[in-house]
Amino acid sequence: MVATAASAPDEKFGGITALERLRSIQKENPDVSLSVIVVMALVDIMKNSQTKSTSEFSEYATRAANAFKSLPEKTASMIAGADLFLDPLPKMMVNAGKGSEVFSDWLKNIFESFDKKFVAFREFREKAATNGLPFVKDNAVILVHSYSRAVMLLLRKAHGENKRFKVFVTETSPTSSGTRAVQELRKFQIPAELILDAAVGFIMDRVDMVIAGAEGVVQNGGIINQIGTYQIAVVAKAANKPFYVVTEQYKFVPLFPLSQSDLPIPLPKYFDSADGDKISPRNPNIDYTPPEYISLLFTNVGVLTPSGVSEELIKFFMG
Amino acid sequence: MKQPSPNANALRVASSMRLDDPKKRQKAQKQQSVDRQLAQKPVGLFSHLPQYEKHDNIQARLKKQENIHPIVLSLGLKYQNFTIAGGNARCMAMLEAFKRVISDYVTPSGTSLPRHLPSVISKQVDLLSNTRVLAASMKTAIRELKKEIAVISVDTSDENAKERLLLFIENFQTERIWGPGQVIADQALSNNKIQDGDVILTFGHSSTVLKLLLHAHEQKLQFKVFVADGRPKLEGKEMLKSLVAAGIKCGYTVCSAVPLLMKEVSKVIIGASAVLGNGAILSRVGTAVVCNAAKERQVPVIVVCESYKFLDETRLDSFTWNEIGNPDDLVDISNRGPSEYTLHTSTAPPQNQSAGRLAPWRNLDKLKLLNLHYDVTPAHFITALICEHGIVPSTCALSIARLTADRTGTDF
Repeated sequence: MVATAASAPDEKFGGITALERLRSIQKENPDVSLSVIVVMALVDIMKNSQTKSTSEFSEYATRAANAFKSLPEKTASMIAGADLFLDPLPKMMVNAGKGSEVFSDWLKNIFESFDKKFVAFREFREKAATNGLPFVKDNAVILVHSYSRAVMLLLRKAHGENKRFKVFVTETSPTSSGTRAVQELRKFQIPAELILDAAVGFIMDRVDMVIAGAEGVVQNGGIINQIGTYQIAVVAKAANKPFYVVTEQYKFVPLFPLSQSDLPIPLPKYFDSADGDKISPRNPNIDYTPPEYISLLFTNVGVLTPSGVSEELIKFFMG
Repeated sequence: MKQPSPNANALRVASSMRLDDPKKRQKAQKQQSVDRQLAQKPVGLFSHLPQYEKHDNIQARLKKQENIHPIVLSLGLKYQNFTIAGGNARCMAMLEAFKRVISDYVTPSGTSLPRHLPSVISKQVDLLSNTRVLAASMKTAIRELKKEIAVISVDTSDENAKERLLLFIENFQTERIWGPGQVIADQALSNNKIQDGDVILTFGHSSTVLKLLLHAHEQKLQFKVFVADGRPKLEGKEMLKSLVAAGIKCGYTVCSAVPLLMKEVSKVIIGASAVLGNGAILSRVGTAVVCNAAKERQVPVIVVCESYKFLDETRLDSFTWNEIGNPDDLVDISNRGPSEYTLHTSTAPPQNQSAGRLAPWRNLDKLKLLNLHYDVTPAHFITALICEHGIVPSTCALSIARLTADRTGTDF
């Protein structure tokens, strides 16, 4: 059973690898979160799978999902997506055993339920941003890290409600996604200023709150996000400034990191080999912010404390 | 509108924790099956909890001897002498004894098994609670057993009823105690919570932690274990013995040296006597100190605990409830190594080496000894709780217990 479910990251599903399919769907839906893209890719794979029985279906689905989880490029959102896709399967298998429906009908039901989910997912970011709106007060100075669609939406909505506020955005090396955020904010007439990642401590004095997005929300209510988020949260906590997170429920991951080195990504090996003449920084793309640094999370199911997130996650994956 | 009764807002405290009230104490003494002598030098701060002298011959002090099964009596003595200690071991042994009690049970004429057996069980439990305070694990097992007896219909033949109860106990032992320990070990390892190169600190003896470490060793993981230990019971020695026997690299230290050691440690893994409703854990005294030191150094603390030890109670400190052990245990320092005495040879050698200077404490007016068994570790010291349902924050223990109870149709 385990042997059949295991899969290599370069295994081909319907002619192309998991990663290739992911990239093509991502190109078609630039505004959709990565975890939802993964679910879409998996549903796409299953639609073209031509499996003939429920057990064959579930085995193929597990294999495809595991292919995403074992990608070298995997991120927390990909794991969240794969688990989001796998989660309803056992229940569906039980249902298939009960009714006398034909396999093709069962299959149709599954795809319909996923389509319904995709429609619901589209509302999630909107709801999360709306839930966070009351926390953006007039004359607020906000520090934002990296480019996050959910945070952008929240700021745009606040601006739409005629709230006056200023935004500092960190440059977010090495991706420089902060520049993109500043450009977009200025396009919407929101005063925005780019600062160095190293200037967070300096700027924290004049900031009222920090708002961050998340790549994944883990089981204890902590977040996995673009590298640099953790240190901002630490500085914010030291300065007694609230640290808020805007996130959609499909980013909740059943992971429980104990520390920075306990993340599901390949970690750089330090002091292993010399750099030679060209010196370049070595760091992973993400870090983990523990729950004690997070004040509140604005999600589509409401404004939650980190421990509230744990309860939601437990309900979702156990209920 | 209905008027609330005047006592509705009064503080509700279990009468077993209100023994500082003389009436309540007399009543409690009258009800218990053993005639126990009050402690000669009780500690005032803990006067709300039972404080008795230790009795070596508990059988002679039984009030109504005919009701206690001999196997329960011998079990009680083992509890008292700490031959059987630890939440899981005590619960397992108690259930084993109850199997005998139930198979030897004969329903008296004029009553039926579901009506009469619970009172017999209660008698046995009362005796056990007089040897040591009941552990959370035992309370859960007793509650579930009584619930099972209650649903047996009156017309069931004794034979069928007994068979059903014996099967129930067996299932409880495998599905709630033994099995989950196995699952916890699997959960921890499949989530890579023990990795190559880890230095793990544990405190005292815990069967669940031991199971996890042995399992990790079987999987050929390379790690080291420090066993921290505390007086007077020094249960960590037992843990150390089992780990060394399995071939795991070990170190042994006392709990007062833990802060010094913490910079070498990558993870703290501890067991628990109970997980409380607010996410705090109740564990062998000394655990809170170890967890505090870990928190100070940002070392992750993992608690492993089977879900049948999750309690629907909240406690903020170790004072409201605790078990007060025999103060004489503190006097006995016979486990000190001989080398420690040679340092003092310049002055006169101590008269009685095993008893030390505290020996005449009962005659010293102003001296009282307090031997607490448990302490409460607050939730913010704990990074993760691993139970058979997965890895969760310890504050979620109750919702986990409720969810699984909902799913299996039992109530929590």
